[in-house]
Amino acid sequence: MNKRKVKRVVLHIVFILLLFALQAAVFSRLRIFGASPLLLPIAAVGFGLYEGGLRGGLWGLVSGVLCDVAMGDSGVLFTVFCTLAGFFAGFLSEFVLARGFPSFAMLSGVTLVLSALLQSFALLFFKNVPPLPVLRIALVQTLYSLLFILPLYYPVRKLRGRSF
Amino acid sequence: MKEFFKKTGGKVVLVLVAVLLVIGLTSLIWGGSTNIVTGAVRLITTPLQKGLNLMVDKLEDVYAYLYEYDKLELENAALKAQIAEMKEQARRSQAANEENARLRELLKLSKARNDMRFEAAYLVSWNASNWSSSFVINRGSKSGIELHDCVITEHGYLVGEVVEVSSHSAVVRTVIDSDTSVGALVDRNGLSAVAEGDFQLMGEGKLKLDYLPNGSELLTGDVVMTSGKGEVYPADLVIGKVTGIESDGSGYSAYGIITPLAELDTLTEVFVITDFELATD
Repeated sequence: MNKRKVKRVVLHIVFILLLFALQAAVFSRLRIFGASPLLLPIAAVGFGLYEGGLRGGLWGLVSGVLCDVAMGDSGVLFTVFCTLAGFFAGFLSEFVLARGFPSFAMLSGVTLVLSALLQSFALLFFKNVPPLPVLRIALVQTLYSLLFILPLYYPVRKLRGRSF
Repeated sequence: MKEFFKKTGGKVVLVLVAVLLVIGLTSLIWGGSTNIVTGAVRLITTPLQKGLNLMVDKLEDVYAYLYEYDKLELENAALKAQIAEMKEQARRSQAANEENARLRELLKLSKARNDMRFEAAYLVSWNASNWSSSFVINRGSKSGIELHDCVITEHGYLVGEVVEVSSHSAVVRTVIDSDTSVGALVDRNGLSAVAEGDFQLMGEGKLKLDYLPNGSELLTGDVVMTSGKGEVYPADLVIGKVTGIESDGSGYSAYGIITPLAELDTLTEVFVITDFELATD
């Protein structure tokens, strides 16, 4: 790995850690209607879209591990989900989607909806929680997270590179 | 010149002597007071002196400003640093006082409940999940904390249960989390029930008092305590107060809504019960 590649890796790690800090420490206190936003899955999608499936999956894995830590449980939901999101975003950008904001926004939206559905799955089907409050939180979480697509688009695009 | 002094010299000397005599006499007559000549001179010179002094003062100020500015600036910076340090000391002192108050409360509790052993821990962060209510504390297995240890405030109000432990930290699931289920009884009449988290009420910071016996009497304001059944929670810890009574969808049974007495939003320090004696029936 040359100096440039090392710099890029360091920048990716710093960016992911920054998002982790924002998601875990800042926005977890700035709740809207009881919900806080997800930032790391959006970043995973961006890494996949601009850097391909392999690196998307790798950075998705790092983002997912930190997302699970921010959630405070020992589950691996986001570890698996962000890895897959990064990988599939990369795969789609190789063959189907153009690398631009519309694709990023659309994939991020789909990822956020799937995240909310996966998170609510256990409550709905194993804990017999009434669907309305669960779906309300799922909706607010998704809408709140969607606000961060635009601010995250530029740094994610800036980090792209094919040098390792 | 010689002629002038010959003609007028004597007169000049006479006038001078007369003036000196007048000055001398007035000094003698108004002893201690200013004589007429000095008074007249002072009348003219005093405003001039005043003006001059004012100018000198101004010049001194300019001098001081020019030559002592750096010194003042340094002094100002030192004073600012001193103020910052004093503020920090005051803040620390306030934090220490608050901790002291909490420990005093805990001391009262440990005297009343000598069957329990406590480990103090600070809250590190609340977890970001929208689907659960839990936080991380700065004590773990190295401090003797184990899975399912009970967590309380200094007043003995129930906060939650340890659900994950690592060497230097632990995750505490709060009483309002939808996975919480605690054997409870109503303090007023010994009514036995189950206090359990509810996803909908979790957003409001409340929990449910469910599985009440048929025909049981529950009133708003009733204090709900742990029953000690289940061996996870010690008996007689205060969970909260009943703030509402609702009936379920079928309308056949009722449940209470409990507002925890532990103020979860403002928690900074909690106490983990690392050991307690089981309740005997």
